[in-house]
Amino acid sequence: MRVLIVEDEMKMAALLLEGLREHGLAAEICSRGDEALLKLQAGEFDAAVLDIMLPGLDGIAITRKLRERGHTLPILMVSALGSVDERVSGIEAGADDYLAKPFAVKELIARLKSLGRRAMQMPQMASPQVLRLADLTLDLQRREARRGGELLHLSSKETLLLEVLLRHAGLICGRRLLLQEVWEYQFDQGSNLVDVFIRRLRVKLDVGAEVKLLHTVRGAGYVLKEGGV
Amino acid sequence: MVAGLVLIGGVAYYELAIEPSENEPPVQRVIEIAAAAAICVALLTMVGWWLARRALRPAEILAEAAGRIHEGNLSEQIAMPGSGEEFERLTAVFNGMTARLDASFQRVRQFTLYASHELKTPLSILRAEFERLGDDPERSETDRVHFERLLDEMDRLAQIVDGLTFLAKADSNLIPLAREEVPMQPLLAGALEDTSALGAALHLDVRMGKNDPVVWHGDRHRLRQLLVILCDNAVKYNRPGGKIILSLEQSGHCSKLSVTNTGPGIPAEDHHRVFQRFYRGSTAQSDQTEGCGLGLCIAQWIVAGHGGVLSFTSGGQVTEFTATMENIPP
Repeated sequence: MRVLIVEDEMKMAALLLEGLREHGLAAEICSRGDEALLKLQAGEFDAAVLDIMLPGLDGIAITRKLRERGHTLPILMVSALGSVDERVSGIEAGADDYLAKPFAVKELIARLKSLGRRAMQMPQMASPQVLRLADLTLDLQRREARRGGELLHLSSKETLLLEVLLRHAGLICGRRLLLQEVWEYQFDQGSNLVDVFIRRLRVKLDVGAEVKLLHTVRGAGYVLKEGGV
Repeated sequence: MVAGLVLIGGVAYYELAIEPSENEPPVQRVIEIAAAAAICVALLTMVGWWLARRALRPAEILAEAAGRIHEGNLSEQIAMPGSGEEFERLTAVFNGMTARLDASFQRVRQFTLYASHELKTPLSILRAEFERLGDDPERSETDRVHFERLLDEMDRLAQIVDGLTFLAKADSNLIPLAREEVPMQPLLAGALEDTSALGAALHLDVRMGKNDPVVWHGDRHRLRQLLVILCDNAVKYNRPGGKIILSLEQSGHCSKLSVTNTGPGIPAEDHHRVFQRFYRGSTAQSDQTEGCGLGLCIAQWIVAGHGGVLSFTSGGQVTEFTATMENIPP
């Protein structure tokens, strides 16, 4: 996957470039919005990380123009303006995801990979009724989770948390993402709600099990996967 | 009109006082003159009073306008009275002063907005660097734990910046509030579940008190944020084994949402500082992660933005925060 990093802050761009390369993604930097639009239109990239405030053309305008011209490549928007409105206008313009600065580079990479994977699967097949990971299953209709066939007694919020983690299986989910998707909170008040619910879920999911599935990634978030981090 | 009145007064006086009337006894004449004088004085007083009021009207307008001014409407200018040089000048000077004040308030707000934006980028860079350091397999476990702790601090710093940005925008009226019907019961049910989970480590007893079917007109996300702030504080400032009561009460033309906790309370000398930025009470638990000290300011803004009032009472191991909203007739 080739990624174009559009960011005018050179240090930030260099760190992202390094991070992406370490995770096996080819990447290039572009520091101007207008140039980025030309590069992305040329179709050489499979995904873009776009800052919103850019010289030349801002990230939202780039996204809008690309979408108007029929380009479907996944766009991950990053911005220092972490408010709901920014996020909404980014998504409305056609961005696939939005991360507020400061973010964990690991999470950015995880989301980028997830977007890439989703793009590969297009057009999407009928969404599955049951999500699986190793011997863990979640029946989305009945809202029933089982581990090794054994029913797990989860509250509705714990089930939703498990669903979000399963949908992102193998990818790191940061605290903000979980707050947004499970609690629909568009703000991080610094509460340790996520950590508390993860702990509860972990007790029901992993205690006594031979293979642990729910892991903590230091300074970044949580991930559901087989085997260690 | 003034000239007319004076003329009438003058003519009356002349007729009564000056024209000789020989048949009348002197006493009668004196009374007549006195009466005429009295009428003239009364007329002149009325005219004078009316003239003075008219002349001072611009001063009154100015005083009223000055009384209305606060930091939110500094950009409003007072209309020129168009009545004489002195008042024109006074009004102009006054308008100049509020314009300068407005500009300096704007600069402070702009500064806070830009500062929060400019802080985020270096924070991101720092965060990314520390993340790398923490992931370096060559480093010792102790180092990695240190880096992790620094990452947590950086996240807290980011929350403070977010909180400040929010308040700076709120001060400049840049935060729009949606107006939809929000049934409060489901919001409180969600908050109850979350608060119970948060309070489990402290063995807190979290329950619903009154649960009237209150509906508010407002912004669902912001009202949830309000609940999160109040409930989070109720956990943070509680004693182990304490209680939290959430309640919704419909009473007459008002409805109230309140969150009560059984912490040591807010000392009376701190009461006036509770809604100040960066005020932080001492938590019951020393290992608690500290908040950003902006939660209650944000909560107060949210309630005020919905036309309500956020108040509290604290004493005797019970602290209650209450948002009171006037009911909007359907």
